[in-house]
Amino acid sequence: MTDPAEHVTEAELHAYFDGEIDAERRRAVVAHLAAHPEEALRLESYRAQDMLIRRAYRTLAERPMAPRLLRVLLGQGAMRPQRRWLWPAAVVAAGLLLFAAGTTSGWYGHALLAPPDPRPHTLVADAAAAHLVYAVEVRHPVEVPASEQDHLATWLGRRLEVPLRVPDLDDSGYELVGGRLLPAAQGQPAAQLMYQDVGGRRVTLYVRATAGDQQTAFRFAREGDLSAFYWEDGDVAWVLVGDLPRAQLLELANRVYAALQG
Amino acid sequence: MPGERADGLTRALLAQLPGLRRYAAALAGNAADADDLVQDCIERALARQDTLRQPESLGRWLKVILHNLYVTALRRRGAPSVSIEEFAEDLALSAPPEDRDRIRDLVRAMGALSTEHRQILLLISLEGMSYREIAETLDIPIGTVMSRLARARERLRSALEGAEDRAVRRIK
Repeated sequence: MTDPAEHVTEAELHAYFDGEIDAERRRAVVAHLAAHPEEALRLESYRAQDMLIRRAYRTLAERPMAPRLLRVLLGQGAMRPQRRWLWPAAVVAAGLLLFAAGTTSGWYGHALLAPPDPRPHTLVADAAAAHLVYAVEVRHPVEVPASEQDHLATWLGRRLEVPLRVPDLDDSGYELVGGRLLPAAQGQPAAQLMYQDVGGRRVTLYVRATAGDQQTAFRFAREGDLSAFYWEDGDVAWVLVGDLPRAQLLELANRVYAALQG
Repeated sequence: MPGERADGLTRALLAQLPGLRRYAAALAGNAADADDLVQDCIERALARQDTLRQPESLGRWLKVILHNLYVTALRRRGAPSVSIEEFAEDLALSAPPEDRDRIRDLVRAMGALSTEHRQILLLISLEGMSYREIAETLDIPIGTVMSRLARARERLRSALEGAEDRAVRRIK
């Protein structure tokens, strides 16, 4: 029998790296990497350059909006009734981030942007909305800080009526900030755990109890600029949300999953 | 109702603006030209909104328009109005001090790549798009996405290693 690890292609290495490979080939790639440490090193340098690309250009989106772009967008459109959009440009620019958050959370309620399958998206949309609202908070990002981690787990677990673990992501460079209780559909509570890296970039883990008792694979979704991996495990649904490349978020999701099993 | 649609599109475009500017600047290698591109892109998007078949793929649709405008502008004008060195300095100074050298090297190296390679790296790393989304956006097969990505990553890696070697020699 031939060793499948010998037949790993360059494209498969990248697919593995980007979280785009199926389980069977994933095993082959893992075996291949174990046998070829220099290849594993090469993937490490791809990871480093991926992060560097992200770091280098991310500040571009945070720069003050050029007024002329807002004029083009807001001052035009003969069909459009001119109403509240005609704010002074500076106000619009300042509100843009918040506004983007608003449209993203209300994204799927909007006929223009209705997705083909809305079912899983209420979960992901709620998680993304919670991320957008709280991840930017400087002074009050969480209700219960990481220093009270045991209390946090007990309290949220009791409110959600599921045993709740707070995953440790220190090894991935993400430190727990803390957590908060959130309202979710049908009067059910949800919880948000927040983590941040040394650069202050935050990811949130949204948790909600579910009626079903099923195990699902990781599924990927995008909400505006945010990426999310979501899965169900027993009677709990998890959503990991962040403004991260898919591959990095997947790696974190794997860590979360492992920490919850461990 | 057309008015409703236009209003919805305006809101959706507004939400896309910061990300679109970032992508345009990273692709063009300078922020000033990028805003020209984004302005043209919005004008074209508003004028051709009826050709947007799937509203949920607005972000991708805008990138296609933007990319076409960029390629046309490149052919017409050639050199960018701001050098890649200036752009590298600009981005480096926007970053935490410990990242600055590496960011300077990265921006230079990205600027030296072909447009196709720079674009695919930005789509995957900066925009976080999946292979399928990239294939649809660029209208190429997924196999081409994968091979182009592999080449682009390798080019960037050797360029960055070259920069690192030069830095080490400077220190010695």
